[in-house]
Amino acid sequence: MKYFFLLIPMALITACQPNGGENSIPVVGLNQNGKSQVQFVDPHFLGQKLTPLLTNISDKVSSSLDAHETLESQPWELSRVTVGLKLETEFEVIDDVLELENEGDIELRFQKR
Amino acid sequence: MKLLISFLFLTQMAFAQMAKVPSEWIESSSSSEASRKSFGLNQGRGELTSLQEGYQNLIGHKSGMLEELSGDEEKKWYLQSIKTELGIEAKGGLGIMGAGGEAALELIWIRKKNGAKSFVSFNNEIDDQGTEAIQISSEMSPEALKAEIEPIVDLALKTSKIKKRSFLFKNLFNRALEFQKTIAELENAPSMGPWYAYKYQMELGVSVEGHITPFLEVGNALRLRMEWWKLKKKEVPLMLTQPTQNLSPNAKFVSAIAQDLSFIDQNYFQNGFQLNCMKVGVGTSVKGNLVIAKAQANAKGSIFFLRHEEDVLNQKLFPLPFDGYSLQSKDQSTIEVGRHQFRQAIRKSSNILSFFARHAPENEGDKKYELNVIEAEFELFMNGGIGLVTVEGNAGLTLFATRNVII
Repeated sequence: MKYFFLLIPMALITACQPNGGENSIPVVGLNQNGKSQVQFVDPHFLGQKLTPLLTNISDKVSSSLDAHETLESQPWELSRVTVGLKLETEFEVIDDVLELENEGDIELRFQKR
Repeated sequence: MKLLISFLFLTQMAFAQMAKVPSEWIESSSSSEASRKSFGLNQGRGELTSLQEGYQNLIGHKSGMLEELSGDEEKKWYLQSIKTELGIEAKGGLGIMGAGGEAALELIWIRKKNGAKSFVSFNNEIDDQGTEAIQISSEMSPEALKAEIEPIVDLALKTSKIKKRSFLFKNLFNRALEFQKTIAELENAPSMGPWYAYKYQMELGVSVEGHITPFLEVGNALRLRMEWWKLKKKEVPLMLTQPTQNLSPNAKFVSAIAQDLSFIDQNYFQNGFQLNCMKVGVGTSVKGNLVIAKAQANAKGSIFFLRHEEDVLNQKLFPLPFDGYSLQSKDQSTIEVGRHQFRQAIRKSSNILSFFARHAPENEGDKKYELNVIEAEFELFMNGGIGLVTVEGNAGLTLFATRNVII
Protein backbone atom coordinates (compact mmCIF):
# COMPACT_ATOMS: atom_id res chain seq x y z
CA MET A 1 0.00 0.00 0.00
CA LYS A 2 2.81 2.44 0.85
CA TYR A 3 4.35 1.95 -2.58
CA PHE A 4 1.07 2.93 -4.22
CA PHE A 5 1.52 6.50 -2.97
CA LEU A 6 4.99 6.56 -4.50
CA LEU A 7 3.88 5.15 -7.86
CA ILE A 8 1.17 7.76 -8.48
CA PRO A 9 3.48 10.83 -8.28
CA MET A 10 6.10 9.03 -10.38
CA ALA A 11 3.48 8.28 -13.04
CA LEU A 12 2.37 11.94 -13.04
CA ILE A 13 5.96 13.18 -13.34
CA THR A 14 6.60 10.81 -16.23
CA ALA A 15 3.45 11.91 -18.06
CA CYS A 16 4.31 15.60 -17.69
CA GLN A 17 7.92 15.39 -18.95
CA PRO A 18 8.13 16.68 -22.53
CA ASN A 19 10.67 14.02 -23.44
CA GLY A 20 10.52 11.61 -26.27
CA GLY A 21 11.96 8.14 -26.60
CA GLU A 22 15.55 7.04 -26.42
CA ASN A 23 16.41 8.42 -29.88
CA SER A 24 14.72 11.76 -29.35
CA ILE A 25 16.41 14.78 -30.87
CA PRO A 26 17.47 17.43 -28.31
CA VAL A 27 16.98 21.05 -29.37
CA VAL A 28 19.09 23.59 -27.49
CA GLY A 29 18.10 27.24 -27.21
CA LEU A 30 16.93 30.01 -24.90
CA ASN A 31 13.51 30.37 -23.33
CA GLN A 32 11.59 33.64 -23.04
CA ASN A 33 13.49 34.51 -19.87
CA GLY A 34 16.81 34.17 -21.67
CA LYS A 35 17.74 30.98 -19.86
CA SER A 36 19.23 27.96 -21.56
CA GLN A 37 16.68 25.25 -22.19
CA VAL A 38 16.50 21.88 -23.91
CA GLN A 39 13.47 20.41 -25.59
CA PHE A 40 13.27 16.89 -26.96
CA VAL A 41 11.54 16.17 -30.21
CA ASP A 42 10.57 12.85 -31.68
CA PRO A 43 12.73 12.44 -34.83
CA HIS A 44 9.85 11.02 -36.86
CA PHE A 45 7.62 13.93 -35.93
CA LEU A 46 10.39 16.44 -36.71
CA GLY A 47 10.98 14.74 -40.05
CA GLN A 48 7.26 14.90 -40.85
CA LYS A 49 7.20 18.65 -40.17
CA LEU A 50 10.64 19.86 -41.26
CA THR A 51 11.39 17.84 -44.37
CA PRO A 52 8.23 18.80 -46.29
CA LEU A 53 8.75 22.42 -45.22
CA LEU A 54 12.34 22.48 -46.52
CA THR A 55 11.29 20.71 -49.72
CA ASN A 56 8.53 23.27 -50.23
CA ILE A 57 10.86 26.23 -49.63
CA SER A 58 13.59 24.75 -51.80
CA ASP A 59 11.15 24.07 -54.61
CA LYS A 60 9.68 27.58 -54.50
CA VAL A 61 13.09 29.26 -54.44
CA SER A 62 14.43 27.13 -57.30
CA SER A 63 11.30 27.80 -59.37
CA SER A 64 11.43 31.55 -58.70
CA LEU A 65 15.09 31.72 -59.64
CA ASP A 66 14.50 29.67 -62.79
CA ALA A 67 11.88 32.20 -63.83
CA HIS A 68 14.40 35.04 -63.42
CA GLU A 69 16.17 35.77 -66.66
CA THR A 70 19.39 37.70 -67.05
CA LEU A 71 19.30 40.22 -69.86
CA GLU A 72 22.26 40.12 -72.22
CA SER A 73 22.86 43.81 -71.60
CA GLN A 74 23.30 43.35 -67.85
CA PRO A 75 26.94 43.13 -66.80
CA TRP A 76 26.11 41.31 -63.54
CA GLU A 77 24.48 37.91 -63.25
CA LEU A 78 22.92 36.36 -60.19
CA SER A 79 25.11 33.41 -59.24
CA ARG A 80 24.20 32.34 -55.72
CA VAL A 81 21.28 32.82 -53.34
CA THR A 82 21.26 32.08 -49.63
CA VAL A 83 18.07 31.60 -47.60
CA GLY A 84 18.30 31.55 -43.79
CA LEU A 85 15.73 29.86 -41.59
CA LYS A 86 15.31 30.08 -37.83
CA LEU A 87 14.21 27.28 -35.52
CA GLU A 88 12.03 28.10 -32.54
CA THR A 89 12.15 25.72 -29.63
CA GLU A 90 8.91 26.77 -28.01
CA PHE A 91 6.33 24.13 -28.35
CA GLU A 92 3.90 22.65 -25.96
CA VAL A 93 2.55 19.24 -25.20
CA ILE A 94 -1.10 19.10 -26.20
CA ASP A 95 -2.71 15.75 -25.68
CA ASP A 96 0.64 14.03 -26.18
CA VAL A 97 1.18 15.77 -29.53
CA LEU A 98 4.22 18.00 -29.98
CA GLU A 99 3.54 20.96 -32.20
CA LEU A 100 6.51 22.67 -33.84
CA GLU A 101 5.81 26.33 -34.27
CA ASN A 102 8.47 27.48 -36.70
CA GLU A 103 11.13 26.56 -39.18
CA GLY A 104 14.67 25.25 -38.59
CA ASP A 105 17.97 27.02 -37.92
CA ILE A 106 19.28 26.15 -41.32
CA GLU A 107 20.86 27.97 -44.23
CA LEU A 108 20.01 26.91 -47.78
CA ARG A 109 22.44 27.88 -50.58
CA PHE A 110 21.20 27.84 -54.17
CA GLN A 111 23.39 27.88 -57.24
CA LYS A 112 22.90 27.75 -60.99
CA ARG A 113 23.92 24.55 -62.78
CA MET B 1 9.30 -3.59 -3.95
CA LYS B 2 10.48 -5.35 -7.11
CA LEU B 3 7.61 -3.72 -9.00
CA LEU B 4 8.67 -0.27 -7.73
CA ILE B 5 12.31 -0.77 -8.68
CA SER B 6 11.31 -2.03 -12.13
CA PHE B 7 9.02 0.96 -12.61
CA LEU B 8 11.74 3.41 -11.55
CA PHE B 9 14.18 1.72 -13.91
CA LEU B 10 11.74 1.89 -16.81
CA THR B 11 10.97 5.52 -15.99
CA GLN B 12 14.63 6.42 -16.30
CA MET B 13 14.87 4.52 -19.58
CA ALA B 14 11.88 6.47 -20.95
CA PHE B 15 13.73 9.79 -20.52
CA ALA B 16 15.76 10.76 -23.56
CA GLN B 17 19.49 10.43 -22.93
CA MET B 18 21.07 13.68 -24.01
CA ALA B 19 24.70 13.47 -25.07
CA LYS B 20 26.91 15.78 -23.06
CA VAL B 21 30.38 17.07 -23.79
CA PRO B 22 32.89 16.75 -20.93
CA SER B 23 32.70 19.77 -18.63
CA GLU B 24 36.35 20.56 -19.38
CA TRP B 25 35.39 21.21 -23.02
CA ILE B 26 33.23 24.22 -22.07
CA GLU B 27 35.03 25.46 -18.97
CA SER B 28 38.10 27.60 -18.60
CA SER B 29 40.08 24.88 -16.88
CA SER B 30 43.78 24.99 -17.57
CA SER B 31 44.37 23.52 -20.97
CA SER B 32 46.94 20.95 -19.91
CA GLU B 33 44.60 19.60 -17.26
CA ALA B 34 41.80 19.40 -19.81
CA SER B 35 44.01 17.55 -22.22
CA ARG B 36 44.76 14.90 -19.66
CA LYS B 37 41.18 14.54 -18.51
CA SER B 38 39.32 14.68 -21.78
CA PHE B 39 41.47 12.87 -24.22
CA GLY B 40 42.37 9.52 -22.82
CA LEU B 41 44.11 9.25 -19.55
CA ASN B 42 41.55 9.94 -16.88
CA GLN B 43 38.32 10.16 -18.87
CA GLY B 44 35.73 7.44 -18.42
CA ARG B 45 35.12 5.82 -21.76
CA GLY B 46 31.38 5.77 -21.03
CA GLU B 47 31.04 9.55 -21.25
CA LEU B 48 32.77 9.88 -24.61
CA THR B 49 31.01 6.82 -26.00
CA SER B 50 27.66 8.38 -25.09
CA LEU B 51 28.73 11.65 -26.71
CA GLN B 52 29.84 9.81 -29.83
CA GLU B 53 26.50 8.02 -30.08
CA GLY B 54 24.51 11.21 -29.49
CA TYR B 55 26.59 13.15 -32.03
CA GLN B 56 26.25 10.41 -34.66
CA ASN B 57 22.51 10.23 -33.96
CA LEU B 58 22.19 13.96 -34.67
CA ILE B 59 24.33 13.70 -37.82
CA GLY B 60 22.35 10.69 -38.99
CA HIS B 61 19.07 12.51 -38.46
CA LYS B 62 20.24 15.55 -40.42
CA SER B 63 21.69 13.42 -43.21
CA GLY B 64 18.49 11.43 -43.47
CA MET B 65 16.42 14.59 -43.69
CA LEU B 66 18.62 16.00 -46.48
CA GLU B 67 18.30 12.82 -48.51
CA GLU B 68 14.55 13.27 -48.51
CA LEU B 69 14.76 16.73 -50.05
CA SER B 70 13.94 16.53 -53.71
CA GLY B 71 12.32 18.30 -56.59
CA ASP B 72 15.04 20.37 -58.26
CA GLU B 73 16.61 17.75 -60.52
CA GLU B 74 14.99 19.32 -63.59
CA LYS B 75 15.60 22.93 -62.62
CA LYS B 76 18.45 25.28 -63.55
CA TRP B 77 18.79 26.46 -59.95
CA TYR B 78 19.36 23.77 -57.38
CA LEU B 79 20.01 23.46 -53.66
CA GLN B 80 23.80 23.29 -53.74
CA SER B 81 24.69 23.25 -50.04
CA ILE B 82 23.07 23.43 -46.62
CA LYS B 83 24.47 24.69 -43.34
CA THR B 84 23.06 23.36 -40.08
CA GLU B 85 24.14 24.03 -36.53
CA LEU B 86 24.60 22.18 -33.25
CA GLY B 87 24.52 24.00 -29.94
CA ILE B 88 25.69 23.22 -26.43
CA GLU B 89 23.55 24.25 -23.48
CA ALA B 90 24.94 25.53 -20.19
CA LYS B 91 25.39 22.05 -18.68
CA GLY B 92 27.10 20.60 -21.73
CA GLY B 93 24.18 18.92 -23.50
CA LEU B 94 24.64 18.72 -27.27
CA GLY B 95 21.67 19.23 -29.59
CA ILE B 96 20.26 20.92 -32.66
CA MET B 97 20.56 24.65 -32.23
CA GLY B 98 17.34 26.53 -31.69
CA ALA B 99 16.49 30.21 -31.39
CA GLY B 100 18.70 32.13 -29.00
CA GLY B 101 21.32 29.45 -28.86
CA GLU B 102 24.91 29.80 -30.02
CA ALA B 103 26.28 27.46 -32.64
CA ALA B 104 29.20 25.52 -31.21
CA LEU B 105 29.44 23.39 -34.33
CA GLU B 106 28.45 24.38 -37.85
CA LEU B 107 28.05 21.61 -40.38
CA ILE B 108 28.08 22.25 -44.11
CA TRP B 109 26.60 19.63 -46.41
CA ILE B 110 27.38 19.88 -50.11
CA ARG B 111 25.44 18.34 -53.00
CA LYS B 112 27.31 15.72 -54.96
CA LYS B 113 27.08 15.91 -58.72
CA ASN B 114 25.69 12.72 -60.25
CA GLY B 115 26.77 10.80 -57.19
CA ALA B 116 30.40 11.85 -57.53
CA LYS B 117 32.28 14.13 -55.16
CA SER B 118 31.78 17.80 -55.90
CA PHE B 119 34.74 19.97 -55.02
CA VAL B 120 33.50 23.43 -54.13
CA SER B 121 35.09 26.60 -52.84
CA PHE B 122 35.53 26.44 -49.07
CA ASN B 123 35.56 30.23 -48.76
CA ASN B 124 32.24 30.56 -50.61
CA GLU B 125 30.73 28.24 -48.02
CA ILE B 126 32.02 29.99 -44.88
CA ASP B 127 32.04 33.68 -45.84
CA ASP B 128 29.03 35.87 -45.23
CA GLN B 129 27.79 36.39 -48.77
CA GLY B 130 25.55 39.26 -47.76
CA THR B 131 28.40 41.68 -47.00
CA GLU B 132 29.98 43.78 -49.75
CA ALA B 133 33.74 43.15 -49.86
CA ILE B 134 36.51 45.44 -51.07
CA GLN B 135 39.51 43.40 -52.22
CA ILE B 136 42.81 45.07 -51.43
CA SER B 137 46.42 44.07 -52.04
CA SER B 138 49.61 45.71 -50.88
CA GLU B 139 50.69 46.46 -54.48
CA MET B 140 47.62 48.48 -55.39
CA SER B 141 48.34 52.10 -56.27
CA PRO B 142 46.15 54.87 -54.82
CA GLU B 143 44.36 55.10 -58.18
CA ALA B 144 43.68 51.36 -58.17
CA LEU B 145 42.37 51.60 -54.60
CA LYS B 146 40.02 54.40 -55.60
CA ALA B 147 38.78 52.37 -58.57
CA GLU B 148 38.05 49.46 -56.21
CA ILE B 149 36.18 51.66 -53.73
CA GLU B 150 34.12 53.65 -56.22
CA PRO B 151 31.46 51.01 -57.10
CA ILE B 152 31.01 50.22 -53.41
CA VAL B 153 30.35 53.89 -52.66
CA ASP B 154 27.85 54.05 -55.54
CA LEU B 155 26.13 50.95 -54.22
CA ALA B 156 26.01 52.42 -50.71
CA LEU B 157 24.30 55.57 -51.96
CA LYS B 158 21.75 53.58 -53.97
CA THR B 159 20.85 50.99 -51.34
CA SER B 160 21.00 52.91 -48.07
CA LYS B 161 20.21 56.29 -46.54
CA ILE B 162 23.76 57.54 -46.97
CA LYS B 163 23.82 60.85 -48.88
CA LYS B 164 27.31 62.39 -48.57
CA ARG B 165 29.26 60.72 -51.36
CA SER B 166 32.55 62.61 -51.13
CA PHE B 167 32.68 62.32 -47.34
CA LEU B 168 32.07 58.57 -47.47
CA PHE B 169 34.59 58.12 -50.29
CA LYS B 170 37.32 60.01 -48.41
CA ASN B 171 36.71 58.00 -45.21
CA LEU B 172 36.73 54.68 -47.04
CA PHE B 173 39.89 55.58 -48.94
CA ASN B 174 41.73 56.52 -45.75
CA ARG B 175 40.59 53.31 -44.10
CA ALA B 176 41.81 51.35 -47.14
CA LEU B 177 45.26 52.96 -46.87
CA GLU B 178 45.51 51.89 -43.20
CA PHE B 179 44.38 48.39 -44.16
CA GLN B 180 47.02 48.28 -46.87
CA LYS B 181 49.80 49.04 -44.35
CA THR B 182 48.71 46.10 -42.18
CA ILE B 183 48.50 43.63 -45.06
CA ALA B 184 51.96 44.64 -46.25
CA GLU B 185 53.19 43.46 -42.87
CA LEU B 186 51.20 40.23 -43.12
CA GLU B 187 52.67 39.54 -46.56
CA ASN B 188 56.16 39.92 -45.14
CA ALA B 189 55.46 37.60 -42.21
CA PRO B 190 57.79 34.63 -42.60
CA SER B 191 56.40 31.11 -42.38
CA MET B 192 57.45 29.13 -39.35
CA GLY B 193 55.99 25.78 -40.45
CA PRO B 194 53.17 24.33 -42.55
CA TRP B 195 50.61 26.97 -41.42
CA TYR B 196 50.41 30.49 -42.85
CA ALA B 197 48.03 33.47 -42.85
CA TYR B 198 46.09 33.47 -46.14
CA LYS B 199 43.22 35.88 -45.57
CA TYR B 200 42.55 39.00 -43.50
CA GLN B 201 39.10 40.52 -43.22
CA MET B 202 38.08 43.72 -41.52
CA GLU B 203 34.39 44.32 -40.87
CA LEU B 204 33.24 47.91 -41.20
CA GLY B 205 30.05 49.72 -40.36
CA VAL B 206 29.00 52.86 -42.22
CA SER B 207 26.70 55.39 -40.57
CA VAL B 208 24.11 57.45 -42.44
CA GLU B 209 26.47 60.46 -42.22
CA GLY B 210 29.23 58.46 -43.90
CA HIS B 211 31.41 57.77 -40.85
CA ILE B 212 33.30 54.47 -40.89
CA THR B 213 33.50 52.43 -37.70
CA PRO B 214 35.42 49.22 -37.20
CA PHE B 215 32.60 47.70 -35.22
CA LEU B 216 29.16 46.60 -36.24
CA GLU B 217 27.37 49.21 -34.17
CA VAL B 218 23.63 49.43 -33.90
CA GLY B 219 22.24 52.00 -36.31
CA ASN B 220 24.81 51.55 -39.07
CA ALA B 221 23.30 52.06 -42.49
CA LEU B 222 25.60 49.67 -44.27
CA ARG B 223 28.00 46.84 -43.59
CA LEU B 224 31.22 46.44 -45.58
CA ARG B 225 34.27 44.26 -45.47
CA MET B 226 37.85 44.92 -46.52
CA GLU B 227 39.62 41.79 -47.54
CA TRP B 228 43.14 40.64 -48.38
CA TRP B 229 44.09 37.27 -49.83
CA LYS B 230 47.53 35.78 -50.04
CA LEU B 231 48.09 34.38 -53.50
CA LYS B 232 48.41 30.66 -53.24
CA LYS B 233 51.95 29.56 -53.85
CA LYS B 234 52.76 26.11 -55.07
CA GLU B 235 56.22 26.15 -53.67
CA VAL B 236 57.03 25.60 -50.04
CA PRO B 237 56.29 28.76 -48.05
CA LEU B 238 59.22 31.03 -47.30
CA MET B 239 61.05 29.74 -44.28
CA LEU B 240 62.62 31.89 -41.67
CA THR B 241 66.31 31.59 -42.34
CA GLN B 242 67.40 35.09 -41.51
CA PRO B 243 67.52 37.03 -38.27
CA THR B 244 64.19 38.59 -37.36
CA GLN B 245 65.10 41.78 -35.60
CA ASN B 246 63.55 43.97 -38.28
CA LEU B 247 60.14 42.32 -38.37
CA SER B 248 57.20 44.52 -37.44
CA PRO B 249 55.07 43.62 -34.39
CA ASN B 250 52.21 42.54 -36.67
CA ALA B 251 54.44 40.31 -38.78
CA LYS B 252 55.75 38.63 -35.62
CA PHE B 253 52.18 38.28 -34.30
CA VAL B 254 51.02 36.43 -37.40
CA SER B 255 54.15 34.28 -37.68
CA ALA B 256 53.88 33.29 -34.04
CA ILE B 257 50.28 32.13 -34.40
CA ALA B 258 51.19 30.15 -37.52
CA GLN B 259 54.06 28.52 -35.65
CA ASP B 260 51.92 27.70 -32.62
CA LEU B 261 49.37 25.97 -34.86
CA SER B 262 52.03 23.35 -35.57
CA PHE B 263 51.29 21.99 -32.09
CA ILE B 264 48.02 20.46 -33.27
CA ASP B 265 48.30 16.72 -32.54
CA GLN B 266 46.43 15.25 -35.47
CA ASN B 267 45.55 16.77 -38.81
CA TYR B 268 44.33 13.85 -40.92
CA PHE B 269 41.56 11.34 -40.30
CA GLN B 270 40.56 8.08 -41.90
CA ASN B 271 37.23 9.41 -43.13
CA GLY B 272 39.01 12.06 -45.24
CA PHE B 273 38.63 15.03 -42.92
CA GLN B 274 41.60 17.33 -42.32
CA LEU B 275 42.10 20.00 -39.66
CA ASN B 276 43.50 22.57 -42.02
CA CYS B 277 42.02 26.01 -41.35
CA MET B 278 41.66 28.38 -38.43
CA LYS B 279 40.08 31.80 -37.97
CA VAL B 280 41.03 34.11 -35.12
CA GLY B 281 39.28 37.37 -34.26
CA VAL B 282 41.67 40.30 -33.92
CA GLY B 283 41.55 43.83 -32.59
CA THR B 284 44.13 46.57 -32.31
CA SER B 285 46.00 47.94 -29.34
CA VAL B 286 46.34 51.63 -28.57
CA LYS B 287 49.57 51.58 -30.59
CA GLY B 288 47.78 50.02 -33.54
CA ASN B 289 49.30 46.54 -33.16
CA LEU B 290 47.21 43.43 -33.71
CA VAL B 291 45.87 41.68 -30.61
CA ILE B 292 43.65 38.62 -30.18
CA ALA B 293 40.01 39.56 -29.58
CA LYS B 294 38.33 37.57 -26.84
CA ALA B 295 35.03 37.39 -28.73
CA GLN B 296 33.82 38.05 -32.25
CA ALA B 297 31.61 40.77 -30.81
CA ASN B 298 34.66 42.95 -30.05
CA ALA B 299 36.80 41.83 -32.99
CA LYS B 300 37.61 44.40 -35.64
CA GLY B 301 38.60 41.74 -38.10
CA SER B 302 39.60 38.13 -38.61
CA ILE B 303 42.78 36.46 -39.80
CA PHE B 304 42.48 33.07 -41.46
CA PHE B 305 45.28 30.51 -41.34
CA LEU B 306 45.69 27.59 -43.70
CA ARG B 307 47.80 24.46 -43.44
CA HIS B 308 50.01 23.93 -46.43
CA GLU B 309 49.17 20.69 -48.21
CA GLU B 310 52.69 19.41 -48.22
CA ASP B 311 54.74 19.09 -45.09
CA VAL B 312 57.44 21.67 -45.00
CA LEU B 313 61.03 20.52 -45.05
CA ASN B 314 62.92 20.93 -41.84
CA GLN B 315 65.20 23.88 -42.11
CA LYS B 316 67.11 25.75 -39.53
CA LEU B 317 64.89 28.46 -38.20
CA PHE B 318 66.01 31.52 -36.35
CA PRO B 319 64.00 31.94 -33.16
CA LEU B 320 61.10 34.33 -33.44
CA PRO B 321 61.47 37.09 -30.82
CA PHE B 322 57.84 36.98 -29.66
CA ASP B 323 56.92 36.10 -26.08
CA GLY B 324 53.13 36.10 -26.08
CA TYR B 325 49.83 37.60 -27.14
CA SER B 326 47.58 40.31 -25.81
CA LEU B 327 44.01 39.06 -25.35
CA GLN B 328 41.53 41.95 -25.54
CA SER B 329 38.09 41.82 -23.93
CA LYS B 330 34.94 43.74 -24.80
CA ASP B 331 35.83 46.63 -22.49
CA GLN B 332 39.23 46.92 -24.25
CA SER B 333 41.15 45.66 -21.22
CA THR B 334 43.88 43.16 -22.05
CA ILE B 335 45.72 40.29 -20.43
CA GLU B 336 48.96 38.74 -21.62
CA VAL B 337 48.90 35.09 -22.72
CA GLY B 338 52.27 33.38 -23.04
CA ARG B 339 53.22 31.27 -26.07
CA HIS B 340 53.13 28.03 -24.05
CA GLN B 341 49.65 28.78 -22.74
CA PHE B 342 48.40 29.67 -26.22
CA ARG B 343 49.85 26.43 -27.63
CA GLN B 344 48.02 24.49 -24.92
CA ALA B 345 44.79 26.26 -25.92
CA ILE B 346 45.37 25.39 -29.59
CA ARG B 347 46.04 21.79 -28.65
CA LYS B 348 42.90 21.53 -26.51
CA SER B 349 40.64 23.10 -29.13
CA SER B 350 42.07 20.97 -31.95
CA ASN B 351 41.61 17.80 -29.88
CA ILE B 352 37.97 18.73 -29.32
CA LEU B 353 37.38 19.28 -33.05
CA SER B 354 39.30 16.07 -33.78
CA PHE B 355 36.68 14.16 -31.80
CA PHE B 356 33.86 15.48 -34.00
CA ALA B 357 35.86 15.10 -37.22
CA ARG B 358 36.90 11.55 -36.38
CA HIS B 359 33.33 10.45 -35.65
CA ALA B 360 31.75 12.12 -38.69
CA PRO B 361 30.38 9.64 -41.22
CA GLU B 362 32.46 8.14 -43.97
CA ASN B 363 31.67 9.13 -47.55
CA GLU B 364 28.66 7.16 -48.66
CA GLY B 365 28.47 6.81 -52.43
CA ASP B 366 24.70 6.66 -52.69
CA LYS B 367 23.96 9.83 -50.71
CA LYS B 368 23.01 13.09 -52.44
CA TYR B 369 24.63 15.34 -49.84
CA GLU B 370 27.98 14.89 -48.15
CA LEU B 371 29.19 16.48 -44.93
CA ASN B 372 32.27 18.43 -46.08
CA VAL B 373 32.94 21.11 -43.46
CA ILE B 374 32.80 20.96 -39.66
CA GLU B 375 33.37 24.29 -37.98
CA ALA B 376 33.94 24.46 -34.20
CA GLU B 377 33.57 27.77 -32.37
CA PHE B 378 35.60 28.43 -29.24
CA GLU B 379 35.48 30.98 -26.48
CA LEU B 380 38.73 32.44 -25.16
CA PHE B 381 38.66 33.05 -21.41
CA MET B 382 40.49 35.84 -19.62
CA ASN B 383 42.70 33.31 -17.80
CA GLY B 384 44.06 32.15 -21.15
CA GLY B 385 41.88 29.04 -21.23
CA ILE B 386 39.61 27.94 -24.08
CA GLY B 387 36.35 26.02 -24.45
CA LEU B 388 33.49 25.36 -26.84
CA VAL B 389 31.18 28.35 -27.00
CA THR B 390 27.83 28.18 -25.19
CA VAL B 391 26.79 31.84 -25.14
CA GLU B 392 25.87 33.96 -28.15
CA GLY B 393 28.58 36.34 -29.33
CA ASN B 394 31.42 34.79 -27.31
CA ALA B 395 33.19 32.90 -30.08
CA GLY B 396 36.72 34.23 -30.63
CA LEU B 397 38.46 31.39 -32.41
CA THR B 398 37.16 28.97 -35.03
CA LEU B 399 38.75 25.76 -36.21
CA PHE B 400 37.71 24.02 -39.42
CA ALA B 401 37.87 20.39 -40.48
CA THR B 402 37.28 19.93 -44.20
CA ARG B 403 37.18 17.27 -46.89
CA ASN B 404 36.68 17.51 -50.65
CA VAL B 405 36.65 21.32 -50.72
CA ILE B 406 38.99 23.75 -52.46
CA ILE B 407 40.55 26.35 -50.20
